[in-house]
Amino acid sequence: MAGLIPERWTERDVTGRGPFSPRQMLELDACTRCGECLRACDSFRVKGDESVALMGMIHRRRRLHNQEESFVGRLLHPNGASERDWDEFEAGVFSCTLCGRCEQFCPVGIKTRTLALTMRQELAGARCKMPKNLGIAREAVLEEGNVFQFPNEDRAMWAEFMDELPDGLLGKEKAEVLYFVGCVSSFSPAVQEVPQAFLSVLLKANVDVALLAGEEWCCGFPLIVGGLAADAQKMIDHNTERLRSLGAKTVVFNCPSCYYTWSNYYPLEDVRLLHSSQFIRELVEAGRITFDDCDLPVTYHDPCDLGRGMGEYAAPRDVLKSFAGDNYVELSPSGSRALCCGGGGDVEMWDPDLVGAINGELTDAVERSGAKLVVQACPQCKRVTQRSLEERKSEIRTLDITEFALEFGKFRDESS
Amino acid sequence: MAVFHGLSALAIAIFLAGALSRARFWLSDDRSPGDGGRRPTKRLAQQASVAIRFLLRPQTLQTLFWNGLVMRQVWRESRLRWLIHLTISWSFVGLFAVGSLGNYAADFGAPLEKDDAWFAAFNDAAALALLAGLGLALGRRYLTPAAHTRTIFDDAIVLVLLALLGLSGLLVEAGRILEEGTTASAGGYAFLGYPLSQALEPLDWNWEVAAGWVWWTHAVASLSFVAYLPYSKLRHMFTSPITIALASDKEAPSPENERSANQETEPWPA
Repeated sequence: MAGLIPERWTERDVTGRGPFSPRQMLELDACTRCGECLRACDSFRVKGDESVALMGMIHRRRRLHNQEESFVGRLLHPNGASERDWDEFEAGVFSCTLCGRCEQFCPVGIKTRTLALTMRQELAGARCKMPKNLGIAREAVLEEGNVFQFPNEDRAMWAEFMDELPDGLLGKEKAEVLYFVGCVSSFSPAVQEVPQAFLSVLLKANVDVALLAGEEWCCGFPLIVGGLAADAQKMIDHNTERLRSLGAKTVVFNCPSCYYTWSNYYPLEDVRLLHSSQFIRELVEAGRITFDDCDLPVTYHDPCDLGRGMGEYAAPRDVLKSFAGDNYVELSPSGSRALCCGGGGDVEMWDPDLVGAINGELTDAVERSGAKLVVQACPQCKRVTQRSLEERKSEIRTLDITEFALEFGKFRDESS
Repeated sequence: MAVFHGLSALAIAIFLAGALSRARFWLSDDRSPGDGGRRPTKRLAQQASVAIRFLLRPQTLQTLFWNGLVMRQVWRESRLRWLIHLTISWSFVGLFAVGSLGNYAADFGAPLEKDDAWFAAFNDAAALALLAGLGLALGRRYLTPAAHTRTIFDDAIVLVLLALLGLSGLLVEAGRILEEGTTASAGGYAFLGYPLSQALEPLDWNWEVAAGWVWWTHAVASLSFVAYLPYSKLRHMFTSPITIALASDKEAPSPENERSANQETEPWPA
């Protein structure tokens, strides 16, 4: 687009009377109810309720518009749409995991993820309609700096359990590279091996890296996907200021949601942002990590925010294929149509059962693939999938790409 | 003809009112401070030059060709649905552009006769494609609907209107052939209309009168179609190309990402 179509035709926040751009209103009008998005929607598959899929959301939103704005609608509904109608709309919109899979199926090119996000902005930002737990999470982020409501000074506690943590790393004032860890990796015990592994990889590769530790605040992603983008500005300003003060020219992430948020919402044109899979691929290409041939069947699951969100599909595959060769198997579906793990869109905050049920489809696909190891590139995906596999008593292992590199990679400095 | 022109004006007025209400809907949530006092039409006009520049980008044209004209995305999801869409939309465009506008052009003195071989054959081929597409659509939607197919009353109206247009068009042609007494050598290129006229001939109707009734049926169906268009799902004839064109704003992925991303979707046949 690059300035050709004016900003207000494409994206906007809740600065005007309504959050929808003309393009999005056109998209609301352009939906023909063909039902292709229903085929793509995991929430719909589980709930069987159209209103959780984009087609249903659009249908309800158009009806609300007709009730509130059209001439006939105002005659029939002088007080506007009922609270019940808005509540039903809210329930559907907040059951969407914002995985964006339906965008790959829509024959008329509707930007479904952005549209669903704007619906959340309208509900949460402009009408204060949101799940109760989103409100709690908002308070936690704004007051503590993390979505888990833990004291933020404990954010780097995972690092203190590492054997090889260099002295002074946590208090480092200047560094070339900032490792932005993210809330899930920092605080969720189920995936604390992920940041430990990535930091180990960075250190083994002799990267001049620093952590913000207690000064790292939530990137803002949970607020943005909750429809509370305006509240995320405080986080963005703080993290940007900490980055500037550190002087780092590169920021690396193991969380694709943080990577997505920094890439799309942080004003950083002179800073290089890299996901862990991209960083590890660079190490592989430079010959700084090598893998022995192996006969372990390996597969990879594309996280929504890394694949459909950021368009990065190749980096993790390149790494895995350099290890597994012909033993690398693709999940079906994968790539731009990869299944959602269920853990996106903040849905876990208010409907954990839905998350588990959605993940069942992904776990089925993993089992069908014949792989003995499923590699993921997102702590939230790993957390949800690992739990699902454990419940099934499956012998398939889940590893984050950082854990994979640490476990199977040989680092040049070590071997020479 | 004055009645027809009056009805045409009415249909176009209803169409324009619908189109305006759609445009108002598109802009109804656009209330940023700088735009508050301007009329939607003025704002739309201001966007026109920008939109034209956007439309003429190679990337936009490429997307419009593949996803708009050829409907590659629909083909990826369902061959049957693609065939239905292609036959209905292209035959409809052909019948409008060549058939209807050709007739108007002939009325204004263009060197074109209804029995010209290419003109008659084209119109009948397009009508055949339209009716075949409609038959498939009826079967897909009402006889063997897929699990995700959702049918509303509007679907039935649209299908009935299109079928009425196609069938009445053929009857108009058959009636004209009978009324004018066109011979097989002159009318044979109308490979549907001429056999239909021969099938109807034994009815021994007064074709000067009957052809007029059939013509009016076709005319009213056509004008109803025009008037109904912006109020029905048919408006996607206009909205879909726009959303498809706008979807081309995505940054092109690197070739390796493109390959990894699209391994699940079948490529377009070479």
